Amino acid sequence: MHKNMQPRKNDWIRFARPMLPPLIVLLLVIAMWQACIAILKIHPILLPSPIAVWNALWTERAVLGRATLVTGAAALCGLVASIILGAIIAVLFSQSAKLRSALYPYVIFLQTVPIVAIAPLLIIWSGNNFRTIVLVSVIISIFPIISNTTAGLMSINENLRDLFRLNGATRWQTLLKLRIPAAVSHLVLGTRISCGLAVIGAIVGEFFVGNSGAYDGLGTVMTQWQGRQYTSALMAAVLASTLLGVCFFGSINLLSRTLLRRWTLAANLESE
Amino acid sequence: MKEVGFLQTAQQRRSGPAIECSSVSVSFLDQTTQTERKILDRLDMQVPAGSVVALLGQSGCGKSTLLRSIAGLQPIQTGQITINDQTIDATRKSMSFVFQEPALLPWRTAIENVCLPLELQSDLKRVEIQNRSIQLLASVGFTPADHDKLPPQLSGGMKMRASLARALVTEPTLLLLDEPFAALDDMLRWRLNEMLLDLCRELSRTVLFVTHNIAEAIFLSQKIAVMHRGQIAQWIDNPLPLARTSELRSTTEFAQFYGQISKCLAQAGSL
Repeated sequence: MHKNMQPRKNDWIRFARPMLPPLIVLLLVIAMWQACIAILKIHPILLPSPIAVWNALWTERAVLGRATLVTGAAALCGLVASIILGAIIAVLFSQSAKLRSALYPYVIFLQTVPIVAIAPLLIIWSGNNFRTIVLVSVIISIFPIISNTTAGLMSINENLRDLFRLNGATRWQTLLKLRIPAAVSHLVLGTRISCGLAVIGAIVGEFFVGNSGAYDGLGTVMTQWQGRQYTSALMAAVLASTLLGVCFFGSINLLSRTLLRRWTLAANLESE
Repeated sequence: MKEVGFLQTAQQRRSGPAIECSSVSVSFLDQTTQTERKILDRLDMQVPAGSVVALLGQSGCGKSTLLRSIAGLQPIQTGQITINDQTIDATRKSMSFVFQEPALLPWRTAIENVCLPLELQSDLKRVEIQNRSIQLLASVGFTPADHDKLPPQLSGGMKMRASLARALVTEPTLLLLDEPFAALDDMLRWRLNEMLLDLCRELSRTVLFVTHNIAEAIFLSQKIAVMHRGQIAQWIDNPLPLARTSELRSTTEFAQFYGQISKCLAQAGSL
């Protein structure tokens, strides 16, 4: 039994060791930041000290916590909607070359549309509400999912395709038992890119919704604080939104390693 | 394994089908030179029912293309291929194809991979499919502990064994193999050759396999077709006894026949 304890301790060390270098960098940056402020005497409105940011994080914890939850919920809804919609569109694209050639340019259009330019339009059409934020989040995050998943559905190993042909598989069987399972790892890859975008989309949407009182996300709170030149709290909000993105990314990695492991194992997504 | 197959009649199972190719041509357009490249050139071939035939030849002589044409994977430009006087499509369910790579679905466990062909083409109940797959995996040397492993967790040899089990699970009367063991080391290749021989002996079926390994061709086959430039250059009957064990490879008869085949290949190459 005691032999089992030994590797467990080693496991912990192996888990913690890669965290060490980034942690050292973080401490160095904070130290330099503090030193710069002390030496150059930078005004706190321009750049507050790390301690001031920490204090702001603590005093505004209720507001920030609530805002992070609201923005997180919007971004999550946006991401889930992107995954569902993107996957359906990708399946349709994989089944019809005509559909693909007719609609793909508009999917690229989604990618290139400056979200800042159409966000005001969306607010006029959809209102100052949660739905609009989700919509912005979807528009920004759906493209990587569509393009990655379509690629996954289309790029099937030739031998595997032949195997299905030889066994007289129907189009439906090929889709369900070959194309879709093969595309799961590509969907995960797309989602890893999209999760950060979904958070960005939500916050950008919130900037435009503004402080109408009806909605309090990170973006709206940040606009308020910007008006009051409350820089330390603004930086705390930046930290919160970054952490939100990291949480999303981590959850997707966790999901791909556990529930989806069977489909992602061969694709070797875990090498990082 | 002695019961009557569910897809074929007992009659077919006793002999396996005969393959007949007449004047089969396949050519590809060479993209760089924009010229037609003939892969199969009015090829004629008769494979007798129930025989094990090796297609031997240098790389690029068209042996894989011929095998793919017989499987219906490669459209032919001229000529005709019939299997027991029927079209390829009509006999598709009674043939199996083994690729050079294991071609397992990476998200399916070994046993789920073996189940796949029956899932796709039969109406059998899940339990029956499962039982049949367990039987087949046992016959290719799988231990129950490996049944639920995913392909990335299996060794190259185990993947190839699973691939063979998958090909045999439908109880095909015609087995087509495209250099199935080319990627394996020699020791493993020999072991799998012996296993394949056992499996072919158990059920009499027509087996056609492509190889560029002379020793493998001799060890497995009853007849060897030497291919050259898209045609069958020569048919050679294998004089070695049908009961074959690993010792056969160290006999003088084996060495003599090996020499004869090498000479044939060299002659075909110098035509």
